[in-house]
Amino acid sequence: MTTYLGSLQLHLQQLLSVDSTVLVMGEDILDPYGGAFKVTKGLSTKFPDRVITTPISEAGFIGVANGMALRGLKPIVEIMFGDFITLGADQIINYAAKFAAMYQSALEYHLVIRMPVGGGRGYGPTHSQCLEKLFLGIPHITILAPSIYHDPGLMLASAIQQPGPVLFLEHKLLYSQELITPANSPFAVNLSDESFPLVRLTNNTEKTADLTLITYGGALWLPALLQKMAEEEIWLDVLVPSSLNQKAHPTLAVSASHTGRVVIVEEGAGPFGWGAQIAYDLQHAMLNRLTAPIAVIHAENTIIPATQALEQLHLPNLQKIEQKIYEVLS
Amino acid sequence: MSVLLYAPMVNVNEEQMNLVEWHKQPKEFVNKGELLATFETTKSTYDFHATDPGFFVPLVEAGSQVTVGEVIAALTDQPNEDIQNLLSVETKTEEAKPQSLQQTADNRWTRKAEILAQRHNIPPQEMERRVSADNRITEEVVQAYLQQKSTTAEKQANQGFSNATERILILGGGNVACLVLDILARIPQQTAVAILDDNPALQNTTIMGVPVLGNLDRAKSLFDQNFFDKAALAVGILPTRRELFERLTTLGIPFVNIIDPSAIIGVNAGMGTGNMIMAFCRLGPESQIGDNNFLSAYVNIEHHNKMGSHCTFGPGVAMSGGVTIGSSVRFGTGIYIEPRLTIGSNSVIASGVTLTADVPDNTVVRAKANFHN
Amino acid sequence: MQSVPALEWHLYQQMYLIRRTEETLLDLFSQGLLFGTVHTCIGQEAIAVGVVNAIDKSKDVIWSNHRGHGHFLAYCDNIEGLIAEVMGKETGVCRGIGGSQHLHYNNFYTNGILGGTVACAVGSAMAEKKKNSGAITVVFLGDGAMGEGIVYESLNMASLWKLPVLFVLEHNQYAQTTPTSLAHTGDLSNRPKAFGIETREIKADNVISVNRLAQECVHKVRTQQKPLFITMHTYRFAPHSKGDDVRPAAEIETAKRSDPLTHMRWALAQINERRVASIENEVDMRIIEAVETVKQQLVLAPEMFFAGRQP
Ligand SMILES: Cc1ncc(C[n+]2csc(CCOP(=O)(O)OP(=O)(O)O)c2C)c(N)n1
Ligand SMILES: [Mg+2]
Repeated sequence: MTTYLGSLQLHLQQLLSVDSTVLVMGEDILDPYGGAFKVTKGLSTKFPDRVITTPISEAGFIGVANGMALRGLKPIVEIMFGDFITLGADQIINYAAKFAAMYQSALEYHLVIRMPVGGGRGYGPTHSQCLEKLFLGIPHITILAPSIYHDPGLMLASAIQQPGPVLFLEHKLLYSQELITPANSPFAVNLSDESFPLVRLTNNTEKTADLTLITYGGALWLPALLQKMAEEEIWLDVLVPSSLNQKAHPTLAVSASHTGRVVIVEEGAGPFGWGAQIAYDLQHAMLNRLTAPIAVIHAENTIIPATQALEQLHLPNLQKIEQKIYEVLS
Repeated sequence: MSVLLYAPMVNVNEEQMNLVEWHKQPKEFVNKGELLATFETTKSTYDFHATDPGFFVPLVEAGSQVTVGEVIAALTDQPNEDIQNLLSVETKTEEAKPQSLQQTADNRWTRKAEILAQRHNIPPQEMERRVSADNRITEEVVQAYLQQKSTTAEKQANQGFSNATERILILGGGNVACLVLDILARIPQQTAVAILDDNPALQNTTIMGVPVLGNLDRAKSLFDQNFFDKAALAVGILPTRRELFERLTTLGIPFVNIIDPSAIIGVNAGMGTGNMIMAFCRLGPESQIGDNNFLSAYVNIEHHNKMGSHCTFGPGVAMSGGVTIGSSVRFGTGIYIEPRLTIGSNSVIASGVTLTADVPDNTVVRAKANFHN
Repeated sequence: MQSVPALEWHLYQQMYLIRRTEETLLDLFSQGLLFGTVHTCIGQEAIAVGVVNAIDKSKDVIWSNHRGHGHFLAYCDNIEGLIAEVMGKETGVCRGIGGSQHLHYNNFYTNGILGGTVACAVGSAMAEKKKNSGAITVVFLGDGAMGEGIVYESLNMASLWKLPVLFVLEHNQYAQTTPTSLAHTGDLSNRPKAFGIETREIKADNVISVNRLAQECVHKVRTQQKPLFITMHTYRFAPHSKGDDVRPAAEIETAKRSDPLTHMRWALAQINERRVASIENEVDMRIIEAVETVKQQLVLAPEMFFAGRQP
C-alpha cells in the first residue's frame, strides 16, 4: 500500500541519503510544513543542509539551480504550482536546455524541476493548468509525467540521473491515491522495462482490442473508464507513456495498427498539444491503415474556471471520453 | 392480451425525449403496426408503432417529456378495461427489482452491440426480439444475427471491428516486405494485418505501420484464429519461397496473388495463387502461370506463354510469345527471350542474357556467351 | 631604469591583446569573413583585465555576458579558440556552435540572455560553497541588465545565503542605444545595499587601480563568504555591436581621452618603450597567425553536430 505521495517522499529521502550531491530547493518546503503538497515532508529535519527554502523567486532559484548543476551538484527544485513555471521559462529554455549543446561540452549536468500540475481541485485559472505544452518540442528537455500506474518515486530517482534538465510533472489529484500495480489492479497492467516506462492496460486480455487509448499523467478517470467500457463490451488497449518530449513510443503504432482506431486524451487546454504530435507520428507510422481519424481530447480552449461544475466540464472527463470512443468506433 | 407500452429508446445517448403527438384518439381501436405516436429527441423524430392490437389508453399527454422505459400507454383487449391490474404488476416488478426501469432500458444494448448494429444497418427492432438470457443485447446477439444472414462478403466484415477487406498476413519482414506493403497500400481491397518473421530483433516493431507478431511458425495458429484471410510470401530467394509455400500450403493456409495496380493482365491470362507481381509487369493474353512466382518490376510475359511455379525474376525480363517455362527457374535482371523457346525447370538464367535457343532442365546459362545449343 | 612589477606588464599585455583581437574581429566582420555578431569591449578592457587577474583562475568561476571577449581572453588567453569560435570553426572553444555570446571554457561561462547569468552565478557560488572548494564566483553585468528582475532575486539570494559572489557592474552609460537616464532611476550602484550587500565604486580607466580594488574585493568575498558589488564606471568606444552607434561623436571623443590602454601605454613607455613595443609586436604576430590558422580550419561536420539531435 503506497500512495503516489508516499512513493515520492520515500525516494526523495533515499536519494538524499545515498547521494550527497543531491539537494532540494523550493518555496515553503521546510518542516513542519513540508511543502504545499507535502512531498518534502520530513526532509529538512533529516537533511538540514541540503533542503533549502527559497524566496518567491522562481526565475531566480531555477537560475541558482542551473548554476549549481553546472558545478556538479544535482538540484531537485520544487515549483509550488506548475503554473508558476512560466516565471522560470527563460532559465529552462535559454539556459538549462542549451548548456550542453551550446557549449558543445560533455557537461555532467543534472537538474530536476518537480511541479504539481492539473485541475480538479477548484484552484482556478492560475493554479490548475497543465502547461507542459510550452516546453514540448524544446530540444534537450526531458519531460516526465508519472501516472497512477507508474512509480513516481522510482522515476524521480532515474530522472536525477538523466543528463540535462528534467521537468517532472506530478498531477495534484494523484498525491493521495494509492498506486495501481499489476498486483492490485482489476485489469491487466504491464510496464515496459524502460527507466521511464510505458504502461499498457487492457480491460480484456482475451479479445482483440477495439480501440487504442493514449494518455498520460493525471488521467484519474482511467480505472472507471476501463470498467465502464468492459460493461459495454468495448475492449481497450490503453497506453500511458511517462516521457513526453519525444516521438510516439513504437508500441503506440503497434497497438494502433491492430485496432485502427485511436483516441488520445490530454489535460492541457486546446489544440497544438502533445496529442496533436502523437497523432501526427501515428499517422506517419500507419500510412493509410487507420480505420477512423485519430481523435484528440483536451481541455476546452479557454481558462480553467474555479467553480467546480464548470471545471469538470472544462477538463477531459469520463463522459467526454466515453462519447468520443463511441464516435470513433461508429 | 392487454399490454402496456413503454417509451422506446430512440437514441442511445438520450434518456429524455418529447412525445410530440398521439395519432389515435383515446379508446380508438389500433391495429398492430399502426402509427401511434411521434417522439422527438434532440437529434431526430421517431415514429412509434403499435406493438399489439388493442384499444388505446394514453397514460401521458401529448407534448410531455418522457423517459426511456416509462409507461406511456396501454392497449387493452376490451374497451373501457380497467388497467390498474396491469399497472400494479408493473410497479410490483419495479419494486422487486431494485434497478429502475429506466436503467434497465439503458442497459439493454451494450455499446458494442449498438455500434455493430449501426455499422451493418440492422434495424434496432430486429435485435430487440433477440435479447440474451440476462435481458441484454450484446455483441454476441448481433454477431449471431449477422452470421445467420451473411453472405461471404459480409462475413469478412463481421469479424469484430475489422474491415470488409481481404486481410493479408505477410511472411517475411525484410526488404521484400516493404515492396509488398507498398503495393498493398495502393490496393483498397487488401490490407496487411501483420508480419511474421523469424528475426527476434523485428518482434514487436512495426514495418510501415504493420506489426511484426512473431515468427513464421505462428501462421498456422493465426489462421486458425481467423486472424487473416490469406498469406503472402515477402521473400525473394527461390528455395526459401518454394519451401515455405509448400510447407504452409500443406498446413492449409491459402496464399494470395499480390498484383501491383500498374500491372497489366491480358485477356484470358491466368495464374494460380501466391504470385507476386510488381509494378509495370505484364502478363499477355492467353498466358498461364502457376503458383508462387515472383515477378520484379518490368517483367513482360508475352501472349500464349506457359510457366510453372516458384520462378523468380529480376527486374526487366522480357519474353516473346509462345515461350514455355518450367518450375523453379531463376531469372536475373534484364533478360530477353526469343519466341517459342522452352526453358526447363530448375535452371538459372544470368542477368543480361539474350536467349535464342531452348534451355534444358537444371542448366545454368551464363552471361558471357549467349546461349546456343 | 625604474623597475615595473611583472604584473603590470602582464596587465598591459592583456589589455593590448584584447584591444587588438577585437579590432581584428571587427575587421574580419567588415571583410565578410565573420558571420553573426560581435560586441566588443573596446574602452572597457581595464575592467576585464583588472578583475580577472585578481581571481584564482585555477578554481574561481566566471559568468560573463554578451560583451565577454575581454573577460574570456583575460581568463585563458586563448586567442585562437576565441577567433575560431566567432568565425564558426570546429576548433572554437564551443566548436563554433555557441559563437561570440555563448562561450564556455573551464570555469568560464557566458550566455546571450541578459540577467539570467546573475542567477546562475549565485548558483555556482552556492555549489562551490557546498563543496567547500574555496572558489568564488565573479559575474559581469551591464547597466542595461540591471533592468531585469532576476538580478534582484539573485542579489537577494546571494546575500540571504551568504554566498561568495563578486558582482561587477560595467556601467558604460548605455544599453545598446539607450542612455541610462532613459532606462533607470536612482543610483544603480546603491541598489545592492537594499539587500545588505556591501558595494564599491570606481572609475575604471586605470587597470592598476581596478586590479587593486578587485584583489581587495575578491579577498573579502573569499574570506567573509558573502557577496560584494562593484560598480565600474566606464565607456565603450566602439559601437554596441557594429554600425549601430547613435551616440554624439563629441561625447565619444571626450571619453576616449581616458582610454585605459593609452594611459597605461604612456606610463610604461616612459619607463621602457622598447619593452612595450616588443610586447605589442609579439601580440600582433600572435593575432595574425591565429587568424591565418583559423581561416584554414573547417566548420564542424553536420553529422557531428546533428548526432546530438534528439530523435
Ligand atoms: C533578455 C534580453 N533582452 C534584450 C537583449 C538584447 N540586448 C543585448 S545587449 C543589450 C544591451 C545591454 O546593455 P548593458 O547591459 O548595459 O550591457 P552593454 O551592452 O552596455 O555592455 C540588449 C538590449 C538580450 N540579449 N537579452
Ligand atoms: Mg551598458
